[in-house]
Amino acid sequence: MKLTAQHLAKTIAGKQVLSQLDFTWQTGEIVGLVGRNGAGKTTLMRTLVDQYHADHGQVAIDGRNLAEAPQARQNLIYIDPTEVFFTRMNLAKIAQYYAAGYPHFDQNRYRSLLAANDLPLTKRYGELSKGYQALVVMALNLASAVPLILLDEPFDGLDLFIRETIVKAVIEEVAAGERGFLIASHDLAELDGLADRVLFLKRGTISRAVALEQVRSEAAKLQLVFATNQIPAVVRDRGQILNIQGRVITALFPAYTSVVKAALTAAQPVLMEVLPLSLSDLFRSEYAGEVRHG
Amino acid sequence: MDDPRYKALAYYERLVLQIKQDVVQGVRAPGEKLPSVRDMAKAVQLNPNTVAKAYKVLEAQGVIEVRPGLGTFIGPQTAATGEEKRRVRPAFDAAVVSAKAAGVTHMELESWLNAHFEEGQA
Repeated sequence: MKLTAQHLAKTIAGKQVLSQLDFTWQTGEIVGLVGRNGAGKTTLMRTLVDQYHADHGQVAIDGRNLAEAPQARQNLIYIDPTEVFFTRMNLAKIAQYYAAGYPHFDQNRYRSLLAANDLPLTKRYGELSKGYQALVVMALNLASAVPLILLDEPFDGLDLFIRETIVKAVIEEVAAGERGFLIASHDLAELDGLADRVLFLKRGTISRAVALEQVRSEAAKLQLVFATNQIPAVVRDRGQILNIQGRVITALFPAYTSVVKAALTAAQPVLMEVLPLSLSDLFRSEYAGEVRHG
Repeated sequence: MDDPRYKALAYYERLVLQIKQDVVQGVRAPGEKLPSVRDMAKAVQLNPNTVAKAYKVLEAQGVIEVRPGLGTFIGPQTAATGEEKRRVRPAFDAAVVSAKAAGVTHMELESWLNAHFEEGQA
């Protein structure tokens, strides 16, 4: 199953939050969604499930436009953990609501997921700690038996064990190939390794989409020191400087070919060391311009 | 997976090296069953497609074998085939040339090599 967003645009209170936004996402895939605070990640998720009506553009699932075939929305689930309607309900009652909305809702699965985390059905959602609330949201997502699941900051404020529980659940579901996840998160370390692709949201649109494993096999992050204070042309031309401290230059080379390597070696660096390339580095390089201009 | 020497590599390449190292050190024995892609992904907390890619590379290199319907197993580690040796030789030569160019002495190289062969026998 494949979701296609085309030319999405949304203006809220006179501010254009999304514009000309395009992407695709399918089952079997974990897609990360990153961006600065206020970049529009939550607005995008709300627009995808039509909680906000898009001003322009369309969202389609397997070619069916959700505006014309709203029943196809049952293939999507988005539970915004900060804006839920069920705070005062107990966990059993919440499941009844979701079962009404999602015909394949699996009560047994829901109960066993809660039981695995020692969550009694009689507890009210609002009485639970943040971590347990996150687990309830995940249990609802999984029990709803929906192919395309949107997660908004699923790791925010959670301890290591609860994060691992959620990561393992995501991996488990995706491995079978029948589910896909779109995960908006500021936790770049958690997304790194988990996501097939990461979408960078910037100025209301997807400014960049990276397949992390591919980037890591093509790009390199180097720490370089040259004898003189002059930065060789190849560093500026073929790389992006991430950081300079004294004479130590940290640079990202998106296409670290043998030509680039030879040119760097020819500049006779005093130190030239390959460093691990993380999603945080790509994030830094993508948004560096925005930091400087406030 | 956390070996600092491999940190600059893609995750699938790190997993490939980790499994090879496990085999070399005897942590995983020939004929032993490997976890399914899903279980391995959960164990190392990686995207299942990344694990599947690592398994494909290991299978192509003859380190593991897939027995349909049964799972994935560590292959028989008989003496490396001539083909496998020819495949790794250029990478080794390139590393030695770079090391020599960087001023690494014969002695140093030897001690590096020894360190690798002693690993796992300790």
